[in-house]
Amino acid sequence: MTNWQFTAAVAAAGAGTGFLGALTGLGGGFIVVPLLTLGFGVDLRYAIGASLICIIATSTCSAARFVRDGLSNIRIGMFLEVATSIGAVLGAWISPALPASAISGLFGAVLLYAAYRTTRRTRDAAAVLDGSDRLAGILHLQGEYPAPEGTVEYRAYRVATGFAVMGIAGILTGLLGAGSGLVKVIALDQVMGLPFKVAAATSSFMIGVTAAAAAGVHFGRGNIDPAIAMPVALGVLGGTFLGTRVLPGTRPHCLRMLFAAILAMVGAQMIYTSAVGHLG
Amino acid sequence: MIGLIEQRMAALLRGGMLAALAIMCSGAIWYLAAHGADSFNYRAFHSAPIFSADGRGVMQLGIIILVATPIARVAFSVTAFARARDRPYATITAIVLCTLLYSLLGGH
Repeated sequence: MTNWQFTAAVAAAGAGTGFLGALTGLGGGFIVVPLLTLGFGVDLRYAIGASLICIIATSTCSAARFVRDGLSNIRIGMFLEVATSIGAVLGAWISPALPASAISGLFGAVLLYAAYRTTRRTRDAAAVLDGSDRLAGILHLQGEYPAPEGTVEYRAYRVATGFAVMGIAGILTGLLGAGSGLVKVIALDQVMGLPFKVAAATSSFMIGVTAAAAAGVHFGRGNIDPAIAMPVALGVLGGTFLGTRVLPGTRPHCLRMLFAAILAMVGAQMIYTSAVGHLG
Repeated sequence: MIGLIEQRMAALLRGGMLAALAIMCSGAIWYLAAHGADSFNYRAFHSAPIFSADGRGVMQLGIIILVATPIARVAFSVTAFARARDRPYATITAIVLCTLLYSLLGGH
């Protein structure tokens, strides 16, 4: 295979990844890493470096659009970034002491359960949750977003629990280098009761910061090779650009089913990896 | 209703993204013109140099700008919330910025 062919094939796959990422709030590492290692025989270290670039490209491109449109809630995002960024540092510290394959298996099981829960939740309205959360009031964790039927007001619930789950998301990122977008969307949607589009757009807004913190280390180790990261980044930017234009008009139910399908797929992949010991 | 902070933040993200895109594209053209027909092989790991004076170096510069954009967004938020006298959020974003800089510079 020539460099031209590799660049074209990876840019096309990156476009699909970015498109899905914009719709679901995920960074796409779960596609890029197996694609590069299994599909193109790239060394795992380069693949992880490229997946960080994929996450940052998805996040920056979708946030540029969603922050302006009022879909990303920057207060909710930045408040929870405290938990994810401190969690990521902790995760990186404790990672040598923990068995990665056991954590990967456990995480896979959690994702399968979350996929089930996501399909069970059919409405956006958080009416089942009780009315007031003092922390949400103090921190102004509410907002409104433009929906096809008009402006929809929303507020965050169970803020303390959401903050704790975000800390776990950060620790997992530091431990496994993956799954941060998945846990963020679960926390925003399932725990804090935000509308799915706001949850996805706010997760998109947050994932770039977590990945940028990790990217510094990977640059230093030479894991980010421009010949591999460039086609990923260019494809992802194109796909995300399209995805951000499709998201506002899509029914939340369709987005939630798409997210549940990805959760189930990644969950199964993680359990398989932990049982076999390697991917593929 | 979108606030001023959101508008400026969106503009910052867009600017960083477009600068990275333009530089990556020019580097990609240079790199593919020189090495496009070479065979692709990254099975073995050779630590990639951060800077080189060719198409790869230009692409890497674009990638570094892309990585710096979310960090610049956090730094911008600290000053924007401080200027708006929003003390809780100025503190929150300052904590995020400190953690980010720690893991970028001191964490390894």
